[in-house]
Amino acid sequence: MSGLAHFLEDDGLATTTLAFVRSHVEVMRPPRALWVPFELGKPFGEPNDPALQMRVLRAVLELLKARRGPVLEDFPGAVSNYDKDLGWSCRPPALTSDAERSDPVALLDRLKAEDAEIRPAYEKAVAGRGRSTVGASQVSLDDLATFLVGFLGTETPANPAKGQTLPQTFRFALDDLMAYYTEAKSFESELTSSTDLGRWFWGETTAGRLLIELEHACRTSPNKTLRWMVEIGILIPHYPE
Amino acid sequence: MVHLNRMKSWPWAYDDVMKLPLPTYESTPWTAAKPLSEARIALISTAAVHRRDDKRFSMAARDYRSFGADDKDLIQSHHSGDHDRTGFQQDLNLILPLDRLRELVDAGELGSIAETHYSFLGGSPPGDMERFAHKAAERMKVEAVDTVLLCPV
Repeated sequence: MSGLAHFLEDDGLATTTLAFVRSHVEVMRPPRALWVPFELGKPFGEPNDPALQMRVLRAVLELLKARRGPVLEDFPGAVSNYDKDLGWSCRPPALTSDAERSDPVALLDRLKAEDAEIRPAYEKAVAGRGRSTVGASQVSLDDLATFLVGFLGTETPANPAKGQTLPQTFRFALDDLMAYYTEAKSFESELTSSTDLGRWFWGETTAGRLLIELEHACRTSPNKTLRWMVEIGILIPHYPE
Repeated sequence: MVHLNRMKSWPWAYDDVMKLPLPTYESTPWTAAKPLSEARIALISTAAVHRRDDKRFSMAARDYRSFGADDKDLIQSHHSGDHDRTGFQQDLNLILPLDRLRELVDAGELGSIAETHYSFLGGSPPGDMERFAHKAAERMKVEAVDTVLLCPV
């Protein structure tokens, strides 16, 4: 972000930026930056909290009044209960042996049953919000569970999406599955914080179990990109228990 | 997905972020900003969000996607698992505060909002994004943008 600020400012555009990592800004010295103490993924504070979002927005725009720079300020005042928010840290530990794996056929049956429960809430959420973040994989919701369970077998499934590699499709399908569940659950529900949604997803859903099993299966996948994705920790969220 | 402080108990991920190789610059460029009430503003997010039909970001992508101020049905193709996604699933203003900007325009505090906004893939080496940043700047100027709000994720 700080690099982009340098390039745009060179082109005659005045920039102001939010920053999560204060030390990065101290090194890169963009013209105007406001450090915010929020959870990663929440630059303007909290969802559905327009007052907090506006406070952040006014604070970062206020920096445009500075006559010289670089300017680095901290977001003022008490802001959120982020320090209590464990995010997705409640995910269960990785499997340690093949003996812990589930029967894929039985797992798929459980996923289909769960899908029937989730789908009405998801459709209501999409209609209510007028949007959804599900879709990057290009795998339809009807095919999503079957596609992902296919990676628990010995043969790598075919890529159903055009214009992207199989590992990309797989990676985005994991995001789509999580988003499908959490978008459904957070609509008309008391579960809206990342902590609560994480506890529910990892602790109570078969989809959460599927992701843990996929992480284990991909450690020995014939596809080297999938093995690499597990190794560097980008396949599924991997935070301290 | 988690506040940076929490990542300290997961050292290699924390180090990935905190010890990222960073470019340094001899000086900081400075463009005088217009008074906010006269400014025309565009947003840049590094959330790798885009329209549903756009090409997905690959891990090597350093270019950008653009979308309209009224586009709400945005999806994300960001490979990182470092950031929370449940927040902006519920409220797009959490990463792209277009409704808040409209409120400032309505109140007379902000001049106007650009028709087009932009997204890059966060975590990319800044130098590799430079030529695409200049291209985005050209497009912004065509739309008479003079001010840019950069929104990380």
